[in-house]
Amino acid sequence: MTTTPPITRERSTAPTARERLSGLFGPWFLPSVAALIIFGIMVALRPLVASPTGLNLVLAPLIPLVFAVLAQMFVIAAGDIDLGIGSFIGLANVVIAVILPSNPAAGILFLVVMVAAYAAMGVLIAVRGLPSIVVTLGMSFVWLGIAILILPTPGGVVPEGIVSFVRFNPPVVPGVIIVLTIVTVVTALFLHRSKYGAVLRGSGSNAEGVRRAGWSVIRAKVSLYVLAAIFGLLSGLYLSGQTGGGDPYIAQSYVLLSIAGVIVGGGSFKGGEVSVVGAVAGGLVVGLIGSLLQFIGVQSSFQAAAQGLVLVLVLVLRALVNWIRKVRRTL
Amino acid sequence: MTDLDTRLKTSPAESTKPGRPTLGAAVLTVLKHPATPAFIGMIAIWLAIGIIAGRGLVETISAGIIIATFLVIVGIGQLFVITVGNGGIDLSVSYVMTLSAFLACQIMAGENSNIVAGILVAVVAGLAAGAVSAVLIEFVGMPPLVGTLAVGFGLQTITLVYSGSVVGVAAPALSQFTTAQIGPIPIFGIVGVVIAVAFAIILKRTSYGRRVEAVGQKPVAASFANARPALIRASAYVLSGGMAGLAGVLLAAYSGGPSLGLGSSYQLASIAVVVLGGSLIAGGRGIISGLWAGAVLLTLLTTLANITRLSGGWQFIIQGALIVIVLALARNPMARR
Repeated sequence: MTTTPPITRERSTAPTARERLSGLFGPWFLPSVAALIIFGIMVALRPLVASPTGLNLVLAPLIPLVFAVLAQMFVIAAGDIDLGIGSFIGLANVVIAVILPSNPAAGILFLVVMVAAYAAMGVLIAVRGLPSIVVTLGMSFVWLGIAILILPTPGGVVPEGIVSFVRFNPPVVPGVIIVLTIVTVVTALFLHRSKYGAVLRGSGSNAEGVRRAGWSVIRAKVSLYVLAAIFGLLSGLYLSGQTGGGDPYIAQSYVLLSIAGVIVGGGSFKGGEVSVVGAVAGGLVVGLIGSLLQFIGVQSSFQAAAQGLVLVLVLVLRALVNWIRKVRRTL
Repeated sequence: MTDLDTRLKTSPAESTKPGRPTLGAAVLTVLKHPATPAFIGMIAIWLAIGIIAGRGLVETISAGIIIATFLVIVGIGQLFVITVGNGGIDLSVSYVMTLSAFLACQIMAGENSNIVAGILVAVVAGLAAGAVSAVLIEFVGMPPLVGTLAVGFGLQTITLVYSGSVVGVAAPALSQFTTAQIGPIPIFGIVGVVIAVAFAIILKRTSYGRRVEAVGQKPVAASFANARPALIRASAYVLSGGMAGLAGVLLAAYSGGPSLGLGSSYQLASIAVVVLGGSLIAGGRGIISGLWAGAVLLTLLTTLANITRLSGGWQFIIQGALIVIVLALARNPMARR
């Protein structure tokens, strides 16, 4: 790049102010601002939300969703989409509430097998070139079916240790803030700053480049599916600790919400283009919109539509921005 | 027969093969047809029901093809969407079915004179929903999955709010029509076969159908052959919506009236029958005969599960695993290029 001077172009190749600005802020900027604005509205409506207790009450239910969004983010980074994550989280919840209390070893083994099954699903999708949407949709019924076999009706009791771990809330800094910060920083450092993180993102956006650099694309994609499964389990863990019981259908709404969170957070379906901070912020945006709707007394039956509408609006806006950019470039 | 024998003698090159070559070739063509596994599976489960439950084979299949017809109708729409390619999939069908069922039953209000109006409203509502999906996907540029799912959730909310205030009853004549029989032959099952044949002709013999498959195979090449990929793809979503609307009102008539969970099992099942029938999930090849067999197969599978008192969990597992296994065993669509 540096050896070929721009001869025909009049403008210099140095980044313009706008480019530098967008490079500085990145795709995570807008969703973070949006999350803060929504949170600000909630505080304006009920000032108590800003207190440590209020913060915990508002944000705690969003932790499982944020984990689900991160799980979905790994799959979207691979250039795929996961329609089974909701049922998978539901199965994890059922295993934690039913098998783990009576037989801890069997419960842990079950969870490990679930991760292995996700890896196998990743192998199948990557090696055979199968459409992830259909495979994960099919598998979602397998997870749901297994969960229903274990627990036909909601019930079970989550072990006390998990409940107190999940509800851990030190007096000064709310527990949710600690969890969110640790998860975001560790995941972001891994995916955006480590060597293998670059390989993982590359497997979705530039598989040929990754292959030529001597890395296994299939292994990278399987790693992404394993990461998705682990975050799915974490989501199930937090969900279990918060509800205290098991329900196969508990996380069904997470399928659309997790996709929405990734997309709101600046992710792209093209693969590779994801942002951890953006995804966490996107998850908070999607979740907080639900809480806000509850605050102003919107029926719960409207919430699915409202959250779907947000997803549509974000995509329409992004299509519009891309279109304007294209028009401006051609001028 | 004599013709086959003489040919066997006169062609020494083929005499090394066992059996009669032309018959063998014919059998091979049938065996290699993508729809064959679905038909074999259908017959196997049909016989299994007869053996396990000791139920009459005729009544099993005649009940089966009635219930399968709803799935055939929805599945055909889904098949067109999948066949136009570009990651095409319609996840809104179940929500379209439920909303259409409520709308149509409110209009019919149990009166036979309103049947035409009711069906028309159901189909038009489905077409409109499909058109919204088509705009979001083809002109806004959303991935089909998100576009159809977003439309689906919107419809679900509309249904939830709207269904609280209406009590719809299907017209009795339409209900009778879905269960009527001439001797052992169910009329509605024949309707399903006729619809399948009609759409097979549309897909394989009309210029529109050929364009649908061509766009699914190679959009650029298809556009040189005077097909506009975006329009063809958009039309598939509209068609799928209309078919789902039709299936919704018929299913409501069959089951006595609309309910909120009416369409929910059709979201996965409609995709399953396309995959089972040997159509390519990546698009470009739709097999409607296979879809019909796949729909009967899935319906009989549910019957078998009910007879053997299999829990609902197992039914989910079998249906989900069946799709994944069939996809894994099917010829790799990526290798086609």
